[in-house]
Amino acid sequence: MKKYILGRVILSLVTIFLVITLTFVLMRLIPGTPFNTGNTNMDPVALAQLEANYGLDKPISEQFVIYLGNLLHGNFGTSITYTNRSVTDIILRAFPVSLDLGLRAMIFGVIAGLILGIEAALHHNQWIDRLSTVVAIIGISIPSFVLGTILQLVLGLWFSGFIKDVFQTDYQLFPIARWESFRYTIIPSFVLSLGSIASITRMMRSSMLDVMSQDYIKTARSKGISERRVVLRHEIRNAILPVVTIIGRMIGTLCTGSFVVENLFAIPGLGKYYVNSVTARDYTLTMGLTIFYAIFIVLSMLLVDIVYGLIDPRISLVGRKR
Amino acid sequence: MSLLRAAPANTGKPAEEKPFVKDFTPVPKDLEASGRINRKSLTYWQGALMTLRRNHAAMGGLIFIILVVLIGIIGPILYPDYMKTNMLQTLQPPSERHLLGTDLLGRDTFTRLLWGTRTSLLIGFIAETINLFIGIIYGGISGFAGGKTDVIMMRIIDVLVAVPQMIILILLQTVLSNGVGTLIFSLCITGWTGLARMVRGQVMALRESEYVSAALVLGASKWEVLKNHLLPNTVGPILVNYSMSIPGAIGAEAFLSYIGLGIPVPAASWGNMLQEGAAQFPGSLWLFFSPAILFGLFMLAFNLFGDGLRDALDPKMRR
Repeated sequence: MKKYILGRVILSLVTIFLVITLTFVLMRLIPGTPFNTGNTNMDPVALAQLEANYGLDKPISEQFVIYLGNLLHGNFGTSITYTNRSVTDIILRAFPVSLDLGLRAMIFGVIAGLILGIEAALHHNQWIDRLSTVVAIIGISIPSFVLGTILQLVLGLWFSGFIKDVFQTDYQLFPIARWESFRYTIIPSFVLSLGSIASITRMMRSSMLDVMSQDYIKTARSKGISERRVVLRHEIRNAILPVVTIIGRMIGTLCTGSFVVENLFAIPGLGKYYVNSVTARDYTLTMGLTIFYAIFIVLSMLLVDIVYGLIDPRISLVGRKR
Repeated sequence: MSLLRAAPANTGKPAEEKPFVKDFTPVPKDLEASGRINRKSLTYWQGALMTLRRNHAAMGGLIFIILVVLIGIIGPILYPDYMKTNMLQTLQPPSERHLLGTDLLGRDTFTRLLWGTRTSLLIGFIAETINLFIGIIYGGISGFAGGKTDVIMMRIIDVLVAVPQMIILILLQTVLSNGVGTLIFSLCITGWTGLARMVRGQVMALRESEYVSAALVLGASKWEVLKNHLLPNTVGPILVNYSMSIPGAIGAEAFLSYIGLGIPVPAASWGNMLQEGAAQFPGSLWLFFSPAILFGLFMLAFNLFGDGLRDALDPKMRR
C-alpha cells in the first residue's frame, strides 16, 4: 500500500514537472517577447530596459530556474492584459467561483447518475431503464455548449418572456447569466453536470447488472437476507467500486467543461479567464493558468486514487505485486 | 434421531408412483439425424455481423454515418462557393434560394454546412486513424518487449494520461497557428494512449495464455501466432475503440472552435458555425440549429453504432 501511494506521488510530481517544462518551452518558442512582437518600432533602449526588468534578457535555462523558484513561492507571474494584476491574484479571486460551480455540478452529477443507474439496473428493461439509456446517450452526444445555448434560449428568453407577459414582472426563476444567488447557479451546474450524469449512469448500470448476476448475490438471498439489505449491502456496495475510479477523471472533464460553461453564462471563474487569456494572447496568464490547472487536476486525481486504494482491498494487492 | 425415524417413511411412497417403462414408446434411433447440426456454423465475424444487423439502432446509426460521410465528400464538390459573401442578402431566413438561409456576411449556410461537415469529418477521421496506428505500434512493442522496456513505456503513458487533453489542445492552439493541421497534431499527442494500453494488455494476456504456448510447441511460427491468435483477439476491441474515439475528436474540434480557438472563420467547421450561430442569438436561429442538429445527430449515430459494434464483437453478448 505504501509503495503504491509513493509510486503515485512520484508519478504525479513527474507529470507536473513535465507540464511546467513543456509549457515554458512552448511559450518561449513563440517568436519575440511579449514586448517585441517584431512589428512594433519601439525604442531599442526602452525595449532592452523592459526586457531586463522582466528578466527576459537572461539565458532560457536561467529564466526557467527563476520561474520554477517563483512557482514554489506561489508566484505564477504577471498578466500582460490585466495590468498590475498578478496571475496568483487572478487565481485567488476566480478559482473559488470555479470550484463552487464544479462542486455543485459534481455533487448533482454523482447523485443523479448513481440513482438513475441503480434504478435502471433494478428495473432492467422497464421504462426507467430506457429513460436512463436515453439520458446517457443524449448526455454523451450533445455537448454542453449546445445544450447550454438551447437552455439559455428556452428558459432565458422564451420562458421569461412568457412570465413577463402573464405576470407583468421581471423576476427570473432561472437566470441565465452571472453568478449571484442560488437561482443563478442552477442552470450552469446542470449543464456542466450532464456529461458526468451520462457516464456515471452508464457505468453504474452495467456494473450493477454485472454484480446482480454474481453467485454471492444468490448466496445472500438464499441466506434469507431481506431484499433491501441485499440491494444496499451487497449489490450497490460492490457495484459502486468501479464507478469511484471515474470520479477522478471527472475532475478533469469538469475543468474543461467549465471553460465553455463559464463563458456561456458569464460566470467570473477561472475558465473564463483562461479562454480569454488565449484569445487575447496573454501568454503569461495562459502559462500560469495552464500550470495551475495541471497541478490542480493531477493532485486531485492523485487524491482520488489514494482514497480509492484505501477503500478497495484489491488495489493494495496490485501494489504489492509491483 | 428425528431424521432417522423420518427416513423410511419417505422412501416408500415415490416407488409406487413411478410410471412403468412400458408406458413409453421409444423413438426409433436415427443416428444420422441426431448427428446432423441444423444451425449453420458461423465464424466469429459472420456471427458479429449477424448480431450487428439485428441491432436496428446501430444499423440506423451506420446508415446515417455513411450518409453524412457521403455528404462531406460530394457536397463541397456540388456547392463550391462557401466563402462567397453577399452584403445585400445578410441574415436571410431559409428560402428556396438559400435552403438554410444566410449568415451575417450573406454566405449561404447550406453550402457552409456541407464544407463544415467535410472539415469536421476530416479532423475526426485523420486524427483518430493516426492515433490508431501509433496506439497499435506502441502497445504492440510494449507488450511484446515486456520487462524494463514495458515498464518505462507504460510510465510514459501514465504521465501523458494525467495531462488533460483539452489543456494540450488549447496550449498548442496558442503557440502554433490555428487550423486543421494544428488541431490534428494536438489531438494526436495524447489521443493514442487508451488504445496503446489496451493493445498492450491483449498482447500480454496472449503471451501468457496456454493456447499460444501450445501453438508454439506444436511448431507454429511467430507470424502464425500473430495472424491466427493476436489479430482476431484484438481487432474487435480496436475497432470499438476507434469508432468511439472519432466522435470524441469531432467534439473536441467543435468545443475549441466554439470558444474561438479552433478553425478560424473564413473556413467552415461545425464548431465555428455553432459559434457564429450562437453569436446571433436570439435572432437568426437557423444559423445555430442547422449545424447543431446535424452535429447532434451525427454524434448520436456514432454512439449508437459504437455501442452496437461493441455488443456484436463481444462473444459473451452474442445471442
